[in-house]
Amino acid sequence: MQGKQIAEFKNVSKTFSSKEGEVRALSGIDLQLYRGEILAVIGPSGAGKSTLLRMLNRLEEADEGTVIWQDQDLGKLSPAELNATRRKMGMIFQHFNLLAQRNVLDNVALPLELHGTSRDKARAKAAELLDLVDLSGKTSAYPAQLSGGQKQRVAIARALSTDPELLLCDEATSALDPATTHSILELLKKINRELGITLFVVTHEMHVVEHICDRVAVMDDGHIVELRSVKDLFKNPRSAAARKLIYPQGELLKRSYNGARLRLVFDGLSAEEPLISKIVLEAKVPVNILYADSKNIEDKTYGQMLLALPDDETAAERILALLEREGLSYSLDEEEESI
Amino acid sequence: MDINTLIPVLWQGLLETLAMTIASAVFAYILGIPLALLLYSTAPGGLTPKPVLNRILNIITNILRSIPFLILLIWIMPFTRFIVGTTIGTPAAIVPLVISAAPYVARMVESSLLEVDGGLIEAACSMGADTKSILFKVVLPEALPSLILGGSIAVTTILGYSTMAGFVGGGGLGAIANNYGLFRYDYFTMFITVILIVILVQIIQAAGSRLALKIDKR
Repeated sequence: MQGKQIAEFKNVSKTFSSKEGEVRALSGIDLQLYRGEILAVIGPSGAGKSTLLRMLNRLEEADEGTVIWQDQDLGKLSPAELNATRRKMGMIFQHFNLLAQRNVLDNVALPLELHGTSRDKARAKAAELLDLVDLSGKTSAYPAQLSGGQKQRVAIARALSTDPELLLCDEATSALDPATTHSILELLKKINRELGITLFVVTHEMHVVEHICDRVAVMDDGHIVELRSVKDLFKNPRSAAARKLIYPQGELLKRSYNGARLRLVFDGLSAEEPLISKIVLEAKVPVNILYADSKNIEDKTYGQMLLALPDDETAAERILALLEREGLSYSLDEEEESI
Repeated sequence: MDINTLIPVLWQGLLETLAMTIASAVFAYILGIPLALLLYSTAPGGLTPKPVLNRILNIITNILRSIPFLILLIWIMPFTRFIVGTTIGTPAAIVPLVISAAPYVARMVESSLLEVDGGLIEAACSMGADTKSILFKVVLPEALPSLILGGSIAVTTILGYSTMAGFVGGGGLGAIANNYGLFRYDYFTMFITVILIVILVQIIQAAGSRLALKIDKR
């Protein structure tokens, strides 16, 4: 999956000054983007993730550090070179940003028209792309007549019109309902797999990450606090920010239960085994499930389950012995640790 | 004045008023649109921020906008004579009308341009568009319905000013109201000219609103 490096952030920092004082949006960001991958940057709002994305096409300039695109320092490009480079990157937005006075076909044709392609050629290419995003029946509709999901499909077709190598997705599904989000994510996945376009995805929604991404960078307060494969992140989130994103209910649980806890981590196959039944039947211990969550990543199930450990030590021992036998990874949670 | 002599006089006045208004509006837009595009794109946070130029343009626009029309009309008479050779009649009224309306039109156009969603400009930037294409392919077409609405307001305002020009030697309905109403106490004739002006304003405003609504795809 991972190819050659396509872009890189080297020690990038950015500070915004406002009336309330200075806000450090990004500090010392190092991040590589590889050709063909889907990299997500996730974090709470205000973490600086959109600022980071917008530096890749220089809608935002870095105060310190360099942003490299295919061995070129983006900050050193002339306006004309920058515009040529921007053609190699498509961008889609949370609020679509379609031209209300242009119909669907002409919206998709716009980037080519802006670069001097004749209107007919641009429209022919636009029609092909609308076919790709399943909107060939809506070419003469105007954006106001479309649903949110359809608008984002138009925006995706438009972003693809200059045959980009990279697609920047800035909260692209955040304004959509869950079902529409799913179909847009499927489309993005298809674009990555079939056209080989690299995706840089910024989102605050964990299901976007688990659905389409290969690697994920967790951002908090201008820093990247965790950068791993999506599988690893779900198996064992290390940073507080990642745990909060994966288990938003965690804090609640901490307050409601004070006993010793057993955290089971299972991946792929073992999630499908009747583990709880085994504990009840073989170890003969009644089980109290405090929390369970599983995610499907690339057709395998990864999950975590949190059990209350019985106060009876021999009963607890029986459970642990059973887990050892089954070869499951587990950990005993300290009471003060949040899940 | 009896109705049979009044009708040709009013007809003549109506044509003069329309000619003055339309010609002035056309020239005001020819000057006002480029000024608006400059004001819009050189503003802080604009497409090509140029703070000093923007400040100077703003000051000039505001000064021209703040001179009362009747004073401007008299003040620039030498300039008017230089341009059209006379200070009396319909062509002479067009000069002060244009000078007064152009900065007004520029402000109207600028405010229409500012209504265009910043997200669209950002999207166009992300496509690698230069400033000229952003202005002519994105900003102006997206602002068109608002520009037309603004246009009908500008034209009706110019129409109102053109009647003032009638008081100092310009022609049109304003001159009729002045000559018959003020100097001859012919209130009936004055009343009729006012009615005609009201009808004209209504027609222009309604046509502008209807056209804007028709072409707006939002």
